[in-house]
Amino acid sequence: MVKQLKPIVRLLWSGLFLDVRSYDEAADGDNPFVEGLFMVVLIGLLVALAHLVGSVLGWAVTPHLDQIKTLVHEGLVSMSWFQQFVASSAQSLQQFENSYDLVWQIAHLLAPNPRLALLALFLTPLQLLVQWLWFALVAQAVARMLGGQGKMKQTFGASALAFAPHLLYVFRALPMVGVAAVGVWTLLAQYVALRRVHENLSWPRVLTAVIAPSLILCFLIIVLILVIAPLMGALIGGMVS
Amino acid sequence: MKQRFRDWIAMARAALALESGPFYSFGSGPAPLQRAVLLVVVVGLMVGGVNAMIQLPALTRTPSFNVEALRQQIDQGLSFNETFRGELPPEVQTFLDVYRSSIEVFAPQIPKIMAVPSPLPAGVGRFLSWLGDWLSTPFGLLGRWLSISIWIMLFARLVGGKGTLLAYLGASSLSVLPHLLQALSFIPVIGGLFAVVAGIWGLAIQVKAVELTHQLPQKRAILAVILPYLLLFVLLAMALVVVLVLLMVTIAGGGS
Repeated sequence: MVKQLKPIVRLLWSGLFLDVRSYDEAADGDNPFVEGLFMVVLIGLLVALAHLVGSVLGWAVTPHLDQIKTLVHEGLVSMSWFQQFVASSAQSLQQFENSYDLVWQIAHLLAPNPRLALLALFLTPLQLLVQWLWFALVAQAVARMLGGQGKMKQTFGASALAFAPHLLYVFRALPMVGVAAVGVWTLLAQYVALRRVHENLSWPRVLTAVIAPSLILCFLIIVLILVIAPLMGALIGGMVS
Repeated sequence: MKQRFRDWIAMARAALALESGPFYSFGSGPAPLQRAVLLVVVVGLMVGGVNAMIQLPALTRTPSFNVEALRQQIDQGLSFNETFRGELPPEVQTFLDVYRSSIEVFAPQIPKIMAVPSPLPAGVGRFLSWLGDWLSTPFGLLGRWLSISIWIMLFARLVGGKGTLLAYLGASSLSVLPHLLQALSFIPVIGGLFAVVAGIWGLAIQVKAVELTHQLPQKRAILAVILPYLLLFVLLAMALVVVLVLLMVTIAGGGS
């Protein structure tokens, strides 16, 4: 197992530093799709494991939220404005309690949660897989439209390696470390990947193919919101009436 | 090891003096980005390390909260306001009274909230927070360097540059060297000045990196470095105008 992993770790390491030879290797392997799939899942699992460790540590150093909630509540209800507020109408107290509970429910959701991190063990590799497939399919289609001659399987292999910068997220095993630069680094890696696969394309065309998946996704999300918002409005309006 | 360290120091001094040697050296070789990232990480760790060392004594102390000091601070703030603004309108005075009394009532809760235990001892949390602050510095520097460098690379190509991505990134990583000055940002008053000097010095190094790796004349290299900042300024100004217009339309709508 370790022997099998060694070349992949080496490939990921050189891919992280945008070594063009590693992108050629990933694109021209025996089965770039399967190798790419393995690489993306491996990155996803490592990141999710680090996230799990970080969540456990974060949870272990976070003070008990329920105790803080009680103490803050005690302080708030003894303030003079609160007495005036409660006296203003019969529903005021209930409204306050509902809003207060909602705020603390959100705080519980945002606080480190090892149980949610366990779910991420499955969701993170899945999320990376979807991102990889979307990028490879759209970028390849756009690159071909622009005159690129690279093959689909090559794009699958090289673009999987372009996810190597996501490995930086393993630093999230330490709960208070802010990991930056992953997005822009991945973009650079994707540019290098597509440039190697579609060698005949000029740099502006490669750049267009690299940013096309994100632009199309943004466009689709906006369209979806524009379609869903009136439907939701009508639905809520109907329920109210 | 010692010799290698000396070489690095000599290289850093030459780069800071805008000599061409380090730019060629960092822009070539088998793995220019590996060396570039190493440099950025080392600078980030050194800058963060100085701040971390300053914070070190606080690690061993349990943070305390002085209720009386908070009361005095608020009273001082309010009386300062009253002194300069003169007689306050009755509704403002009522609001300030409620504000003052609310803080007085809530203040005793703060030490209790700070004393709420966590599953692990509080010292572990303080250590992880300290370590997190330190290790986040290189990531921040890496993010800023890469984000600005891809835009400079793009504009360098648009003004006729011929350099490759890796060669330019390798050379431009030297622009983080002046940011070592930010390790002195803890000094009161002049600390902020060091950040400004580091920023300007970093831009000069970026110009040199563009000039050498893209084989551009100096004027065009300056243009390639300045244009991303100009674009950012224009975009921010446009966003501000849009927000202001929306705000005015909302206010006008509310008024009618």
